[in-house]
Amino acid sequence: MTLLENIVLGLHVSLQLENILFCFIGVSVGTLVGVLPGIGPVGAMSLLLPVTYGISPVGAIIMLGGIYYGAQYGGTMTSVLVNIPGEASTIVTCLDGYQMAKQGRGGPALGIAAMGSFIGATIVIACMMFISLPLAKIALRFGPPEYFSLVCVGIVALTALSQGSVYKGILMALLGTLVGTIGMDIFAVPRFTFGVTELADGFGLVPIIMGLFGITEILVNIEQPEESRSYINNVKGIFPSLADWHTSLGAIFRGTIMGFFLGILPGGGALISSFASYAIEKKISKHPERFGTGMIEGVAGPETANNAAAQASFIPLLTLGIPANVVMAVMFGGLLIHGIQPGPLLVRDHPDIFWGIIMSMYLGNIMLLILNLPLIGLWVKVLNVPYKLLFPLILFFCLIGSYSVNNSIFDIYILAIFGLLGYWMRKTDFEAAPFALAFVLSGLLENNFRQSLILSDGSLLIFVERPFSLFFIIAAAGFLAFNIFDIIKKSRCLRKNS
Amino acid sequence: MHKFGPLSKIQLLAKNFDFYSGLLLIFISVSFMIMSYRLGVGDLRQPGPGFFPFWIAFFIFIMSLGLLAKSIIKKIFKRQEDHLAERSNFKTVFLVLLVLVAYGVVLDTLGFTISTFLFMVYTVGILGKKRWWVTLLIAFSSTICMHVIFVQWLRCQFPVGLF
Repeated sequence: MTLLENIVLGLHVSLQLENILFCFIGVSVGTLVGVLPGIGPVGAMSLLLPVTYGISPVGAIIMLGGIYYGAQYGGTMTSVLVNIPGEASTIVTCLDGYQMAKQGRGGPALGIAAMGSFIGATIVIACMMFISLPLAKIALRFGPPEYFSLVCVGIVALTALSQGSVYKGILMALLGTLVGTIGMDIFAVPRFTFGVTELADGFGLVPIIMGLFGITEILVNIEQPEESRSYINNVKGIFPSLADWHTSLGAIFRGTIMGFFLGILPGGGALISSFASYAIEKKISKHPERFGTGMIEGVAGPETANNAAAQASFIPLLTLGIPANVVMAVMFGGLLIHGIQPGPLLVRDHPDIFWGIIMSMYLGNIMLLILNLPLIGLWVKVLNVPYKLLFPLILFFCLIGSYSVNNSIFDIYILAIFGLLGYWMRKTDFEAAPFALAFVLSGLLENNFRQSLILSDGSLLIFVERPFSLFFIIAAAGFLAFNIFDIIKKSRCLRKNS
Repeated sequence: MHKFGPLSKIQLLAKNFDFYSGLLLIFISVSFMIMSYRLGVGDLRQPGPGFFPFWIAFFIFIMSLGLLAKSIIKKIFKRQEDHLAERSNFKTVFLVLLVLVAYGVVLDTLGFTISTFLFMVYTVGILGKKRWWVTLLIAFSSTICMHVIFVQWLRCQFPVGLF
């Protein structure tokens, strides 16, 4: 099929009335959780996962995807107007965005962020249409060793690019893999189930994700004394001036490129690309000292980058079948529950799903632009709800979300256990993201490992003898080596200073 | 130095959270190694069901030994402080997790509606420390909302219990 036919097919799917509706629900929920600090897209997606069982797989993915990129828009509002990042990926937006709002330029800050995001997302989606098919064609030739190595790179890269200690990150990734082996293996041998029937299929994805991210976030937030949030309410004139456009346009395009590449990269995503974009803008600016005082480039660049990355991170999931970050891991789980195996075969055998999702992203971004910008005032009012009233609801949604996947009370206990585990991890500098990603990918990792060994008749060399696999192994080693260099450099600096 | 004067080695170790994490991970990895061994590890040619978990647990074991060693060295020889857990409020954590478990325990007997009402009373009234009539009002209205959303709209299946 030609590209044009694919686009028409995609439009046909995404413009069905119910899919438009799901897209709208997705981006609205996304904006809402983006505005609210304390619940992120991961939590919201796993909450809505049980809700999607009754609807078509395309509708479900369109809705879940909308939450992810909608949250990027929503997070910006909180960052700019309240100086609290609504999402981790909008942390850097606080620096210049809030200053702009204090100077009465909150409108243009939000405007340029939204329009930059739109431009970035549009370009990335266009790139996606061109590179997905070739990428899927390459991936079709992948065998078990290639997949094993690819999954390894994904997990290692996520660990290496996260902010905490790499040592602890790898420990958590291993633990996640181990927990993922609980339940039946491919030959239906029950493992580590202690005779508990609920464990025959292993731990559920939803209670683990909600425990580690949702419950932990509540526990951490509830400890802190409630601060009265002062926000800047008068948002006038969201359209940036010509001069604003002139200064931001470069930042928007650089942000797009950054977001695209960091989004595709395993372990990358919205968070890293926003930081990278801010750093670049500051570096190439003629007035780096004025960053942090309300420079519009400091808003336009990172905001474009995080949205571009949110779109781009769909590429490895849909074409290779490997989720690049935790959000995509939840999406991966969602697709599996709907009986769809993401990967190159999806692109080939179900073009309606693949192209429907891509075209719905265009639609979703247009909705965000024309529906949400005029509603900024309304969204920000949500922040007035005190946390003491908000957290019982979030807690309850986590609870019912975990329960209703299998109607199992056992899952509620799992939720509580992983909430405690997540809290402990947060307090002791262990990261939950490598754990969650490795947990999701554990089955894939093990099955491909075992199949590779059968292929090679027990030789581990198979992983370095095949070119693609070797390439992935080198990439994984590269990520680790890069980090070790970094640690050595840091410890030398410390020694010099002391 | 510690702000409350020098602590003994034991006290320093007791405040050392990496030490506990290391111990916990060693416990987990060793138990998984034993269980995997019983399942049958096999060899590279014919990996058994316990093969993959055994080696993953083995790597965890090695790395947590490293973590443990590092934490002991850091505490006893360098006397660095752990500042991470100082602002923790374990009581609230316990109270929040308690309500989750309690909800699971009573759901079957009391049913969705009453359990949800009690959940809201507990979280808003006791954890949120709102006045009793505010609590009851919120609990009542949110229970109705949840009933409409989950039972009538999304048609989730809940134990009916008393109602």
